[in-house]
Amino acid sequence: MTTPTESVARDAAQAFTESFTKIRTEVARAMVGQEDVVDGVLTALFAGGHVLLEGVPGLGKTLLVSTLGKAVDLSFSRIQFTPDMMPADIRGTQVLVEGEGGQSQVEFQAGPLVANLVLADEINRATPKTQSALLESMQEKQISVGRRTIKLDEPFCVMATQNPVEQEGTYPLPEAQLDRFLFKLVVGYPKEADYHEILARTTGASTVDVNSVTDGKAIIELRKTVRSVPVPEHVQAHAVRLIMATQPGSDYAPKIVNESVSLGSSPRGAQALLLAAKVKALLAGRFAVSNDDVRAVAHDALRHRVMVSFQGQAEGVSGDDIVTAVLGSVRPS
Amino acid sequence: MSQEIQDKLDRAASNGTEWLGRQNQRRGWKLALADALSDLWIAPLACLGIYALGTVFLRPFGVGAHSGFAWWFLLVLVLLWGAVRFFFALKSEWAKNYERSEGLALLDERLELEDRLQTADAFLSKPTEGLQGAFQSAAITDAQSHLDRALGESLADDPQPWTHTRRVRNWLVVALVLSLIAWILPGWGGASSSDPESTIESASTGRRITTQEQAEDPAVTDPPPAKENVIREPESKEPAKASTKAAEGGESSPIPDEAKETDGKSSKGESGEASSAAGSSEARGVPSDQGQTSKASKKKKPAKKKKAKKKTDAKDQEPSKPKEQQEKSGSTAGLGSASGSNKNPASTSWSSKDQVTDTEDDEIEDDEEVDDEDSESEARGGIQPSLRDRKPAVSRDLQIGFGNRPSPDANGRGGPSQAKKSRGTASLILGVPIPDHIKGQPNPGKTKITQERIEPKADPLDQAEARPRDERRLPAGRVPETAMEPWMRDLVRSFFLEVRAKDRAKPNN
Repeated sequence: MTTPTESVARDAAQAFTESFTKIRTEVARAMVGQEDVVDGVLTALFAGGHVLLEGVPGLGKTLLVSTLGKAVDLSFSRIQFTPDMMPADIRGTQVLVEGEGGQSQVEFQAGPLVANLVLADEINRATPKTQSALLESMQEKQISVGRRTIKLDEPFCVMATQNPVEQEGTYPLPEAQLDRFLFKLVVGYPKEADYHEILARTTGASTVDVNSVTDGKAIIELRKTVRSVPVPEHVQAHAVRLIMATQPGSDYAPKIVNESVSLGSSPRGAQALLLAAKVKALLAGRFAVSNDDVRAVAHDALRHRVMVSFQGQAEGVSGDDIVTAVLGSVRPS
Repeated sequence: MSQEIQDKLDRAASNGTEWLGRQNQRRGWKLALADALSDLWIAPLACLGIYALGTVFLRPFGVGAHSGFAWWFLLVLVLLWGAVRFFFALKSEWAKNYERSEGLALLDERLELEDRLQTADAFLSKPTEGLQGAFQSAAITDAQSHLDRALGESLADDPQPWTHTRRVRNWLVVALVLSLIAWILPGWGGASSSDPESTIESASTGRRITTQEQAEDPAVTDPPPAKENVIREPESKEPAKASTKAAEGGESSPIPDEAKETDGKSSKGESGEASSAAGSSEARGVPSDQGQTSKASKKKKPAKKKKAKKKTDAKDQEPSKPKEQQEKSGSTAGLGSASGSNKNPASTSWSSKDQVTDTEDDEIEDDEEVDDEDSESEARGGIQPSLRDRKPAVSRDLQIGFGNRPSPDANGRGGPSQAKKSRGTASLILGVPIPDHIKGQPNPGKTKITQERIEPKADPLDQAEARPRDERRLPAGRVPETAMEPWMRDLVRSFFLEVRAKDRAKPNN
């Protein structure tokens, strides 16, 4: 019944699901609970995007990213952003070194940004100047230092964290930078049952060793699988309408968008919707994206792309409220 | 194989669209009815607008001034409009065609197939190559396993269960419709007979009444509304009885028609007015005791309630009936203007025509208040000075004002004047307007132009005498030297040396 071409697709989908499950299981050895966040981070990794994790201190954001770095056997670097950090501190700079013959020469010394997995911890503590140094690397996967342009190795994924409460001395991320994150995941408090497991693991004598279950090459292949998942026309139309509905003044915008949104999502939001929906479809055992997949990732993909106006902020409207209203007003055709 | 899947998809889509069409036809009735009902207000509003326009603009010209409100026409118009709206709304609802994808989406939703049928249908129409094509083939095969289930799905019409709420709601709608009909039909039948506007209309058009005897009767030359006739039933005069009988028998329209007709045109109407006016003045001159006591008792209530009480006068007709009788005793024939004539003694033919309208009753309420005050002052044992002009005592409140506005009560007698407010202790208090300080001048302010009428006169100046220019004693400063060739410099030097030599050679004068 199954044709040879179909078997290729089925094998690829099965390989994807297995790898995803393996990584998730390995991360779960160190990270208790937060299944949604773990799935979101992995979805962004396989979709080829970057993740912004937002949550109060102590919820395991940094632990999640560092554990993921170990589980996928990728070069991992961590940048602790501080207000006095300069772009050269993360990109790298040219230093004067002494050669073999005693001659001095200028040599490029790479910064922590040159890695596969980059944890940008408390990214909003750096100045906009330093934050902007990430723009090129996140979009073009390269860094430019002087006249030199360095292509970053694939897979390249920036996982940034920020704390929503300690706003003093921080610099909110500019819209251009926010738009470059595929997902913004909100890390919440663990469940009651998770607390017991967390305490048992972290206060005891035993330590958890995370093994690498896949490598960068496999992830690149799985990314190709994700991009091969077809999107039916009606699903793509629905995604486009969802994006347009976040833009004030558009034909699909609900009332709350027109009143409380100053800037809607860009086409990059539509790309994020479909890429993440493809991962969802594969995980659900389907070979094509459905409307439900698109709607399932809408909050994570769009909440940071919607700029709430001053009026909306005064009324307590959040990006999640906007996305919920958009999902309510734009129904699948 | 793909043809087999395509056929199954066709059948499934056909089932879905047929079901949607049936549901749409059922829903179309409700939607069309809702559309029709929601637009029913247009016809009454249009009628009211036309009526108001005719009343406001055409009355001064006597054209359609007393055109009656044709309730039957309104009813027919409303029903007609509703029927037309219902027809077109139903037609537009039924004309809706459902696409193939909608039929498949219905089955996807019902069977929770997560768009598998729609996806397979889309991929069959647009196949691609490569790994993506492999995924498409896998998606089509995946949908095939669900197609049989979709074809077996019975898309029966969803019968709406007769719940208790629905049953009660339907009965309420029926009851409401019947109540409306019961309310409209008597009003329709009685509108032509009891509506004063319709009687006026017939008067303005000059239509003759068949009962000549009633027309010649002076008692009916100034016709009252039918309701007033019923109230004045106890009156012993024959004309009133005749009008009352006519009103009771539903034949009140001929009498007012005739009365109005004679009122404005024939001499009978004029005599009726004259007698009405006389009667009214008589009624004012000798007010009955009952009227006074009743008004005095009413005056104990606050003055604001006067108007409301007047508007609800119909309810109070019973206790004031003796007074009306007394007034009517003064007016021999002015039945129609009797109620208004004691308010407005100098009633004209214009006013007597329009006294039947409610708006003019409202207009003369002020006059009636004056009468009330007079009677009130008399009831207190003597003529009291008119209190209408009495103003409250000058406020001695030291309140300075609010913001830039001075207090309307603080006129300076009790508190500091405007000038004093700008200095001293008062200036330290918040809210004191400082006259010297001009806040936000929106324009340049007033400009005063003073013109003096003075004859122009010459203003001679001393004539300046011409004199030779003084010699330049100071150096001319640095003159930029132009680049000269050596031979040119020598030429210039020799020229000036020659000139000077010639000057020296000249003898002095």
